[in-house]
Amino acid sequence: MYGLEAINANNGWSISVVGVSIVFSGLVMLSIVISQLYKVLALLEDPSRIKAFFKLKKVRKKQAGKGPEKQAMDRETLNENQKEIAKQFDLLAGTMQESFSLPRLLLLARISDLKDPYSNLDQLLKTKIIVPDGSGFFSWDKDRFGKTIS
Amino acid sequence: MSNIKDILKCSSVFGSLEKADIERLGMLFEIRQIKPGDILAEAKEAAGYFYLLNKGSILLALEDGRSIVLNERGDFMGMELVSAGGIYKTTLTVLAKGSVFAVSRMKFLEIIREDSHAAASINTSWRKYLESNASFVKYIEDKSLPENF
Amino acid sequence: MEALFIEFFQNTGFYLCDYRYIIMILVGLVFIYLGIAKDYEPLLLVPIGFGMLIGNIPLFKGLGLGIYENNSVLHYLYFGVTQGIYPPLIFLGIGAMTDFSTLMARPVLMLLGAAAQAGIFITFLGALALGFAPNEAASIGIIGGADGPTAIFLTAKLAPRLIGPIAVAAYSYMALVPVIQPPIMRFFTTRKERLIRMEEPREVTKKEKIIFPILAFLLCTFLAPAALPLLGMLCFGNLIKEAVVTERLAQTARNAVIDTATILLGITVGASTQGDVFLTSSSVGIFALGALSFCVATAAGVIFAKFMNLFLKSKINPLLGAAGVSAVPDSARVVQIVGQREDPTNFLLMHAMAPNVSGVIGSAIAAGVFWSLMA
Repeated sequence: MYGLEAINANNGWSISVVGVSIVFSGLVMLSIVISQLYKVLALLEDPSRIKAFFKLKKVRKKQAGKGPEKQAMDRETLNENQKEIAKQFDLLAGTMQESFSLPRLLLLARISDLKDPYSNLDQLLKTKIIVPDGSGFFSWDKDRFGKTIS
Repeated sequence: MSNIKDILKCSSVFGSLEKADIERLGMLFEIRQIKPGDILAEAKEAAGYFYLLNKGSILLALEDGRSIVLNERGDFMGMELVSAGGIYKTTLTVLAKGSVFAVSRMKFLEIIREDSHAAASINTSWRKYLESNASFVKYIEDKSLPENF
Repeated sequence: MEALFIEFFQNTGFYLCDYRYIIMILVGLVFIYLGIAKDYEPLLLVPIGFGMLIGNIPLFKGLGLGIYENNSVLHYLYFGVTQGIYPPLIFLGIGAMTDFSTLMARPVLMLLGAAAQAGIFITFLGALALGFAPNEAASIGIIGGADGPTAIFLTAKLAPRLIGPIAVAAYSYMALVPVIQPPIMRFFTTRKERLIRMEEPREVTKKEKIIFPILAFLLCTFLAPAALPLLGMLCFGNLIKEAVVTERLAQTARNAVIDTATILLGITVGASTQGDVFLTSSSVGIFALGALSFCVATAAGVIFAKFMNLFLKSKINPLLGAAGVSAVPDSARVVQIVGQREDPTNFLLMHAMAPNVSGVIGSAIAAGVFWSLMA
């Protein structure tokens, strides 16, 4: 048997359609899963991103009314929680010399059970309340601290 | 921007390299996500990797209490800044979340010990970078000895 | 004494030889020449070519030397082919040396690997139309997957008597990728399309690379369980590569295991092409259909890439479609070469590896589908 007759007799058309469909479905399924994998992994690594996403929506709504200058200032200021923690850092820095070791301050913050010591320390560096002295040590800028928390 | 080649290009240590050298160097790096509190390297432990900052903020603490904070994209945490003789001398603590690109210390040292234009360029830029960011860390001239880093 | 000489002479190859052995020995020499002098898939063509020489030394039956004689050493080695043992071992090695990160960075390119498998099914129809039985037609069609181990694996399961011609056809066409594909690629694309530059892929994390083989294995084998031996080994090989802690196993898989399996497979497949059983009209049909299958697969990949461009914002270079056939990494290299002929600064190799390795997965699934439908 030859030609179309042979294809029909051996169910060739259906086998080909089923085969192509399965190969396509397999790879389409795999490509969809893989394309989402890194997003899922990012979420698993940092679940706070889900909360942050919803918070961000609120913040965006609020900021829609503000000008660009005001928004830029927001990044360098502290919110109420951060101001409280900055005060606690100020107390800790007060127990140290004027020029102090930053890892030591971080250690004290951790021992004192301050909230989010790493990110709050980073915030204090960004707002330039804590400034490097160029020799590997840091100092506490009281003026800036006063202005920032007032 | 989280493409290694773009970050190498904007890095003050690697930015002056030729395109081909950046391609070659980029192959060695591997991305790692970081979050506050993560320890990327601990002083006195075997030094396996050097790091290139993509995003975030990292505290580099030396054992004598000195430290620097690196938070610019392209900041490089390697060589005499972090290790000596295959042992970390600095503890790298993440302060703000982001990502870094890790490079095997051995593979990186192989490249900078080559007698090539790329190696010379990295060494020159690294010297300037060290002077401006951590002048208290002694620059080591002879990069051929394994115990140097 | 004269009778002894005559008896000895009658047992020599000179006496037993006929033109079919000579033809096959010449083919074997051509394979060795192409492998060594032209550098066309030398790791495959040299063992197969020499295997052809081994298999075509005229022997008198009953001495226990020929590959088709039950108690011969070659027959025992050939067991790994007929029982489908060598192909999964080769897949283990391929897995341990393949980097799937470009595919993970742009998973949509995986569809090109699927499209190129159309060649397999079109050739299957062609083989049926030429009068081959369905199981033989499926084995012939799989040549279009451009994946030697998969073709041998499926043929061993469905049509063992065709292993010789199908393996030789599959590996010959794989070696001839740089000759067969470029004209088809140029025919189906415009210069403007060949100049398209691909977007830089994103960085893929180590975690993703480790999870990928596990996910790919589970998803694909749940869908096509018969692909288990090939995909299982491919994904396992890739997992031990990416896990880093199993680097020693990965090293063995990508060196010792794959090399041993390739040598044994090459030699025995070559030796199975004994002139008296190989040179038949069906072998000629298989070669013709194999070539058709390869051409259709290449064209299908390129045309599908053009089709995808109708919907994609960031266009893909349609040449990448040709890499959907799973001759890794030869067809990806051909894409690079053809692309660079138009624009020497356009680097397509890295992008072409994505459809190329998804083609490996696609052809293993296609083989699994055929096996489950025909067995």
